[in-house]
Amino acid sequence: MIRVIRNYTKIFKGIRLPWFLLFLVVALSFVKTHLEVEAITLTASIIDGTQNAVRTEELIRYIEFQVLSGVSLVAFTYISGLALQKINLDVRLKVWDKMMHLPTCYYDSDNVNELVTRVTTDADSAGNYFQQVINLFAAVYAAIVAYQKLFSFQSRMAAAMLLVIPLTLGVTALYSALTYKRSAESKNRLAATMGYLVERVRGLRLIKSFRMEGEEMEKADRLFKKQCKADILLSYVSMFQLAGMELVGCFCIVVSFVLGGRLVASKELGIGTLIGFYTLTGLASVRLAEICTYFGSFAGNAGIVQKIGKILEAPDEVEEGCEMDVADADIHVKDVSFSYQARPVLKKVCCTIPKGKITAIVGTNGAGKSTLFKLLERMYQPTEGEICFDERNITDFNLTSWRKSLAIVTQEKPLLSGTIRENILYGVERTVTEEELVHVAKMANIYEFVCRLPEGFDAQCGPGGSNFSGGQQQCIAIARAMMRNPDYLLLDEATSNLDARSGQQVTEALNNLMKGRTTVLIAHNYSATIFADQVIVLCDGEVQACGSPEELLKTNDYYRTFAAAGCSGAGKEACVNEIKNDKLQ
Amino acid sequence: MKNGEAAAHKLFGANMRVNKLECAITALSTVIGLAQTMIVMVFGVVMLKRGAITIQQWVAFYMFSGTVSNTFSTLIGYWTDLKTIQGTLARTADLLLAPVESEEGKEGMPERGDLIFDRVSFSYGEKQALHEISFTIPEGKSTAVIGLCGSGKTTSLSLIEHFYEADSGEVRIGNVPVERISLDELRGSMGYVQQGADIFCGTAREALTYGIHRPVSDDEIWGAAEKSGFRKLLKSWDQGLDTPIAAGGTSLSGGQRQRLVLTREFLRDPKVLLLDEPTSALDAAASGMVQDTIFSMFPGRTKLIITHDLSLIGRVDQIVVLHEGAMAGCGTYEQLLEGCEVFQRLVAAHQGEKEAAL
Repeated sequence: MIRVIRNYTKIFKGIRLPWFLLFLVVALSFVKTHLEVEAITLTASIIDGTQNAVRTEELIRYIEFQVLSGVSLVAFTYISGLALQKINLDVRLKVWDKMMHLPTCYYDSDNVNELVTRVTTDADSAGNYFQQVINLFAAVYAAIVAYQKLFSFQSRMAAAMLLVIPLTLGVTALYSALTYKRSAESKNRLAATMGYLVERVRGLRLIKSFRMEGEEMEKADRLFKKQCKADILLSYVSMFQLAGMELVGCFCIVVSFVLGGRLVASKELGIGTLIGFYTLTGLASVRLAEICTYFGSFAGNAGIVQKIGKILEAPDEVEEGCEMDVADADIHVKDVSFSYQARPVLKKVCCTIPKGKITAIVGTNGAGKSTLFKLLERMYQPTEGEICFDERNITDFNLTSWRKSLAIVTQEKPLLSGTIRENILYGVERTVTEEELVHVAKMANIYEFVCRLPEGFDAQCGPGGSNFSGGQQQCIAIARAMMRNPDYLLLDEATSNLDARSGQQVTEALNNLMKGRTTVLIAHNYSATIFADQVIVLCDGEVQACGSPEELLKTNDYYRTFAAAGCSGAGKEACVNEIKNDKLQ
Repeated sequence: MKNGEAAAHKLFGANMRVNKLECAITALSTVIGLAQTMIVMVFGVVMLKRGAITIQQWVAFYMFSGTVSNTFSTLIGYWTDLKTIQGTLARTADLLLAPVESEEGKEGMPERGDLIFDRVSFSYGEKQALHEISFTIPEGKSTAVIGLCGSGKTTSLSLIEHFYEADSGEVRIGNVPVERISLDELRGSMGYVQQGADIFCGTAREALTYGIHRPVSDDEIWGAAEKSGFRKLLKSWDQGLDTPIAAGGTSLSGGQRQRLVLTREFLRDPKVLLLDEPTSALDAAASGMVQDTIFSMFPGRTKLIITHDLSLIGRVDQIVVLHEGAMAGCGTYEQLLEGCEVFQRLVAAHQGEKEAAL
């Protein structure tokens, strides 16, 4: 229990809590309790009183109490809701802020979709903690007040009612334990069903093509039935709770009416007091049950809160370091090895990226090309070796200034949802004039296309840029890179997924972007490597060869097949020969 | 961070609106409770005074009224739930009422026959995708469909498998229009390979035999894997055919994925093989290997390949050129190079890159 509470407090460190609101909520809950109890006392006294004479002022006070307790209930609901949402908002923002500053490797170990829930539903659960603490306080307080009143009504009966405490606590504890287990099972089943459906809906075409509707229906039938069974078991548990509370209710009736009836008969107790007593026992047992439920949900939230705590405790990316005083220098990759979850990806890679030149990297899928990019961006740290800018390790530099000097253009989902303008200006801190925007758009080959859109630069790109074709998305991404005006460019050759004409447009835009910048480019096609001053052939995480395209055509087998494959099937041989001859001349 | 903040604040606003609604409901039930108290207490006391009811009746009434007010708040709760569910249910109902693919009165797949597009037009809503397209895909030959993005290539594939109905004109196999062929037979005789290979998570065996409606022996799987060049990778796994494969085949490289899918197609033994950009996600070397596999594994089978990979175009028997939803040409590489302007431009665009290189 103490560990759970400590986990909670970790999260709330550094969050602005709405203390005033929380105080109000506690105060209101106390007022509410007293009003409820007083109303019951008044009822008792009115009933007892009417046997003699009706006292109008008691009736009026009774109505006043009812109105007040109604108002306090509404105020309580509103203010506690407001406080909860404010806390949720703060926790959400804090977790998201933290997530953006975590090193990239953090995202490899945990499922990314799961991390998203940390910011959404899990943040809510953490916020609920406060509501529960307050409710717990209120419930304990209310139970004490109710028992006090019971004793003031009739001490012998109240003493008998003390037996309800272990009974209620026992029932609720058992119920909480069962619910915890069953609801976990039900949630897991739901997650399995969701996972299945997400995958199959995406692959619906395959299912139809292969006529697998029947088989998939059987699979779904099994999954859905399991989920249904888990849900039914969960509802049995609440049946158990109902039965338990019914038992407690019976006990209250027995104590009130058997014991109380005898006292009424012997005129020791007024009938009104008896009814007041009975009503109060109901209130007391409900409060007792609440105490248990809140303790139970503490335990239930512990897992989630632990996960959030883990994120908040993870070390941030190292931000500090000196500014980049030299604008341009050679980058030396010195004996860099990198393992990705114990699987070696790069092995002792050694190369130099000369300033102001174009370096192309070629290699098979999985040779470690993109990993090298990520190391250059400092998304990962090399397991061994170092990457140096001039003579200084790149980790010596301040992360902001290092990343600002780089721009990366890849072929995967380059855009965020928003307008074209927002996408081009993403990450640009200075104000940009309209002329500058138009100039960049022209250089990136999108100006004509933007002009044809009715909304111009304010046209929506759609989620992941899906409103535009692949080529247009690439060009917008190139415009964004131009806007940042970096010294270094990392390009994951962007044309391989495109048809010829869009490919050409993207290539033109890229050429404009590359002018006067140090460029490292992952090439999928031979044509992209020809402009390069240097080509690095990566093979299974090792540098197989490095040199000018002309040299490699003579010396490296892989590069030769790479060049040959870049030519069309018809006249392939001729094309290869042509290339060879041309290079030889 | 600013974007995240805006989104979080919006969520906060929405939650607060829910909170306000809850407050209104609480207020409502308080009012009901109040009315009830008035009636029971004030009215009761007055009645008692007049001697219209006995004290026992009044007490019983008081205790019952508690149940009534509970019932009221339960009622309000149900009503709120009902409103919430109504919205969801409407969407479910739409889905359930939508017409399903009909299987009635269909005939079998013809044994032989070319695949014929006869003046086919098709639109997605307002947007016309295909306009009066006619061409023939000869049986046993390979045909490439090329064109820029959005020229209607993938749409024509979907029409063959009858995922959509043509607005006018018809797609025929031999003499039989595809809409008259039973979906089981039609789709069962088509193989389908696309750019991002479709693989559901499960074991390698499950992935390799997905959609094969007959028992397949391990020997048969190994035999097919041998032909596709997938065997070597399969052998390197300790668990062999029981190795788990991640959803979408993300644990495999692009080339490996396509080989897995081609092995599966070989086992399914389709009459017609439809390939939607099978090589475009691959680098040049992997693309070459996958192409070799396609042509060596399925000789003499009708192949329809959508591609903008020039190296693949050079290997097929016939090329169909689509341009903005209309036919721009049909013929062999050489014929088109002479007579089709769109094709010349497409090839030139590719070669332009290469010439710039040389």
